[in-house]
Amino acid sequence: MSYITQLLILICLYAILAQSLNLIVGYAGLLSFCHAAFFGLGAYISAILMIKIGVPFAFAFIISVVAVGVLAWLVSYLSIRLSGDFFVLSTLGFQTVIYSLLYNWEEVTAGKSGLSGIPRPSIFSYSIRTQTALLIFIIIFTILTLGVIKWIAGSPFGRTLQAIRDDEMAAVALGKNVNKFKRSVFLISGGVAAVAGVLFATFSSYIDPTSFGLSESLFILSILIIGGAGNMKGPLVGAVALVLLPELLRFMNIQDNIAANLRQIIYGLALILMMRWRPQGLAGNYAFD
Amino acid sequence: MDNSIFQHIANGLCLGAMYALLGLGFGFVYTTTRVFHLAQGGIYILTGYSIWLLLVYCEMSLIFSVFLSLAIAALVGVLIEWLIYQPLARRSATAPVVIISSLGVLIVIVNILILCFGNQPLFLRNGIGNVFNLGSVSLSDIQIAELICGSGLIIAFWAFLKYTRSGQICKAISDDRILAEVIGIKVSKVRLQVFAIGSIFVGIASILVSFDTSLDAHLAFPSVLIAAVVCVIGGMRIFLAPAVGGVIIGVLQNLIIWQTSSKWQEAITFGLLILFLLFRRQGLFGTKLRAEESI
Repeated sequence: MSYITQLLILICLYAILAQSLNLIVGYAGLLSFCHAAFFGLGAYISAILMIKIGVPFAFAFIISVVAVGVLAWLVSYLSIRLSGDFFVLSTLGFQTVIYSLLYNWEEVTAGKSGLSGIPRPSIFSYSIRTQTALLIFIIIFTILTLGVIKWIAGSPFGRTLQAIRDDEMAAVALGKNVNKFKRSVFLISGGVAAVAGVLFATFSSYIDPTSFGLSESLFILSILIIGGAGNMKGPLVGAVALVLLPELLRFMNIQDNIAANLRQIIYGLALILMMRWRPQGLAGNYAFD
Repeated sequence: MDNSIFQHIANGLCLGAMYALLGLGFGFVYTTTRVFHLAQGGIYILTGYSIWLLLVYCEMSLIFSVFLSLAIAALVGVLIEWLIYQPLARRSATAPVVIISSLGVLIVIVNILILCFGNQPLFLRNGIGNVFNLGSVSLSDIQIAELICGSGLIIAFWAFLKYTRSGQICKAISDDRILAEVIGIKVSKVRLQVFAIGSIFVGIASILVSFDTSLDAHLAFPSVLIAAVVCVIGGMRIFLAPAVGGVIIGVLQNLIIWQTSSKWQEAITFGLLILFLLFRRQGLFGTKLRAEESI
């Protein structure tokens, strides 16, 4: 039971992450490599608030979502004036700087030994103890989050983003403040990534910086690209496929140490083949053109 | 203690020479073809593992191993261009499509190599070799080789661009690819050459660094990131500017280690990248581009 529960929780978390990245990549058309940094900051800020200061879950949740949202806004404020390859490079820079802070600022983040003993969430004096309760809690959060994203994507705001993605000059000509829209989408997406971060911290009760490095950013991006960007379906398909793939390898009796690399090879090949023949991914509708 | 600053600057120059080679390889490819060649990190560690296989495992001679592993680097670079980038270029794919494909290639190469050679760092030799004392500075034989190879290749590359027809053609393509095609230059053939030369630069850096420290598959991504940083600081689209960027970053990183600790060198390097991207996008030697020229 707990094995299935864990898988379901992981699918939920990655669905949230991929959907939030989808706002930046799929709707606004900006290729970003620093999503794991937002995810990790959400996890760390909430964990530090809960462990070191003893803030209740609900407040820690709100504070970290707002803080990461503002930080993501700041990142976008600095980087969206760059275009194309330089934008990608700047997000790689932010990812590296934030990871390095999590890893090296030992006074606050406990460095590579990580933070342990993160409490399970409790809301209105009802605390969640069993695995099943936690799963239901996370599923509810996921549905709420995805609902918010769906609403944003379908709103005039979301449609303006797609217009900017498809033809930025035309959007400018229509009087849209393009940069403001791009900054807002980072604010929202960073905040949503922080939701996944907080849930991850309380679910695993232990976090260390290696969960939030560049390879994690690449994994989230792979989910989005393989599943498909630009609609709600794609990231969900990607999250299910890429979370279940390692389990499939496990059932094929492939040794764990080989399976990890084999999995990566499959992601890499999938990225190459998708870009060559199906840039919109398995179920997406944005082909990076 | 007073003299140790010279030692750190000397170490920085050696490291910087290697960064310069990585940056020249990356910058040459980017400037001529506009491919953001992340897979260069794969070529970097592939060369290291090839020379380990030939020199340590098969116990072949040094000269032969070096040449064969550089040939492998060039061959793989050309294959990547031929199989991955050229089909994309033919259907004029957008920059994100190319970057993501390149990323896929990098992931595949790195993980195949880890499957073959394991996750642990490998060493090309035991001990640190001979150490030479030059006044208050002492350098190992490999560090001296780094300085000589680095500066020699930079000069050779400068001469290649200035005095050979191939070099002039590369400059022409970087200025205006379509015009180059119109006057009869076979751009796709030149691109293959560019990838071969870039890969050899990276391969030489990889061999020297692997001798100097160790060979580690996890250096693949950092090696190409530092190459990109070096290019931005020197100035993208200027063939020789990465050499200066490389030396600056190499010296800076060693001064950071000297003054604070090695754990902050990555954060400071990438902080510097972000500052350059924001306030001096054209790099140290670039000129400001008009909006329609910028990529």
